[in-house]
Amino acid sequence: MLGKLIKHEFKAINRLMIPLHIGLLAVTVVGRFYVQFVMNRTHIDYTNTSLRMWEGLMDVMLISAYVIALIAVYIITWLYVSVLRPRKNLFTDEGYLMHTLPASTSEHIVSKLVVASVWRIADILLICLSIFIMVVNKYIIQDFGEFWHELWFGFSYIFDVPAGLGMSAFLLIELISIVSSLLIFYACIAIGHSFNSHRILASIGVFVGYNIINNLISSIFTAIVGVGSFGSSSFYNVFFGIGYNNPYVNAARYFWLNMGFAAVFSLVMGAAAFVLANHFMSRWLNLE
Amino acid sequence: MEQLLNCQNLTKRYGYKTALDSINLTIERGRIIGLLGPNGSGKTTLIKLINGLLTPTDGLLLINGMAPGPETKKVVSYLPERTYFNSWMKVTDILDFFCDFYADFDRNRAMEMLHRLNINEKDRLSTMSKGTKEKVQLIMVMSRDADLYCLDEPIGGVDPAARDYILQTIITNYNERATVLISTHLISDIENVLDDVIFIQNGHVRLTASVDEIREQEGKSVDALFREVFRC
Repeated sequence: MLGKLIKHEFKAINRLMIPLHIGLLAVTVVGRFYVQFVMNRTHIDYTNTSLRMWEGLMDVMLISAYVIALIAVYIITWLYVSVLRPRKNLFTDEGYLMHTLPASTSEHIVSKLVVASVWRIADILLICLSIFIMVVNKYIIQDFGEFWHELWFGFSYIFDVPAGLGMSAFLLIELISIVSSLLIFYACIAIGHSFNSHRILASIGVFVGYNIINNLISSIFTAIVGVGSFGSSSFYNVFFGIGYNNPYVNAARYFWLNMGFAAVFSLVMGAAAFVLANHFMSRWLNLE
Repeated sequence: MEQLLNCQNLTKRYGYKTALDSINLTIERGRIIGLLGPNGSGKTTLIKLINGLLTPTDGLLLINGMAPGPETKKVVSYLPERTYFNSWMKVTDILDFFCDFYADFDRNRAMEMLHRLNINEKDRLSTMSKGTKEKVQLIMVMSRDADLYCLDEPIGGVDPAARDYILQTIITNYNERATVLISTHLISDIENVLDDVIFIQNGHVRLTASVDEIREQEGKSVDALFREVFRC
């Protein structure tokens, strides 16, 4: 049943996502031709300031339009897969069809989660691809090795952790936080739509409440870790006697503490959101 | 007769408002039952509870001995009073959807009914009138080989000619092991097809009887009895 739900979810979501991202790539290709044209302007006439001004203005406007298009694609994807689609499909009239299918509530949540995660990730990769296509030239390709080398060593220099491990941890946490944030949206929508009226407002209220708690916990953690890793008579020195007067040890510790906290926090919040969404959708479903 | 649905002290409250108050009800297989009552009497609440769209506040509701869940949804076919399809869908998309999710869906039966009502499979729902959408939805629901059909106001929006065809379909399409539960205000239109009636008011069951009993004992039609019982 889960496979069928995922199949039909893709079918519905692809209807918007595929044209949207084809559009993005089309804009990118056109933009790339324009960049090529600008690079190869042969008629540079330094005496004609008016022409140069118009050309410059045109360049700036087109670059701005491209950046706005990128942001728009990102926001539309994010909003559609994490809020609009699950809300419409499960909590409005379509919910009468979905919730009477022979599937469990958790299957509904997981199917939405899988498809939304895939599109969130694909969206980010396609935006990166678009920027790459837009700016790539032979110098960038030539210097890419050096750039990567610097990034690699810079990373281990700044955070004092092996770059491969650190970057993998970073990507993993990004992945966890994408999935977790989707679940948090589902939970907010499910709780908000268990109310008898003002459901959208209630959902937003729940989301604001969640953010307050989230920020509170994060700032408490930052305060502790900040004190713990950098103060001379700090938390960790006092309690563990580690890293005293050794900034490098502190940097790595700080990195892993932050990464660990982010991962655990995301996982706990995501799991709690899943449980809440599941509970409210199965016990407190309240379709209009 | 074999029991299909059983409610024991079934209660549903929305906040302070009681929609169903300790209902005890047994529904057997092989019946066409009218669930009748004025607006706000609890008909839709009962149907939503049967379909697992609401959870009882108290009491028990069992279908084939099971509480509503994925297993009961396999054998209950539900027509809500809403049009629940995406407007971008074509009729063929809907047929695919039902084929995928319901093992008891009979595609040929659905196509036959669609042709009979002149509905083109290639048409998008967005191009259809409200009545045509309701017909499509009813055809999908009745093309399942379910144990229990719950039809919430199935004929409200369609023209009288289609109404006759649809009622005819309901009678001819279900097998003797299945039961059809129809909630409606349009009693006189469906009276002839009903075996039993359940009168419901303010969350209480006022009367359960067979149509023949009503005719014999009361000497009146169900429609006349309804008007008498629920006189404003």
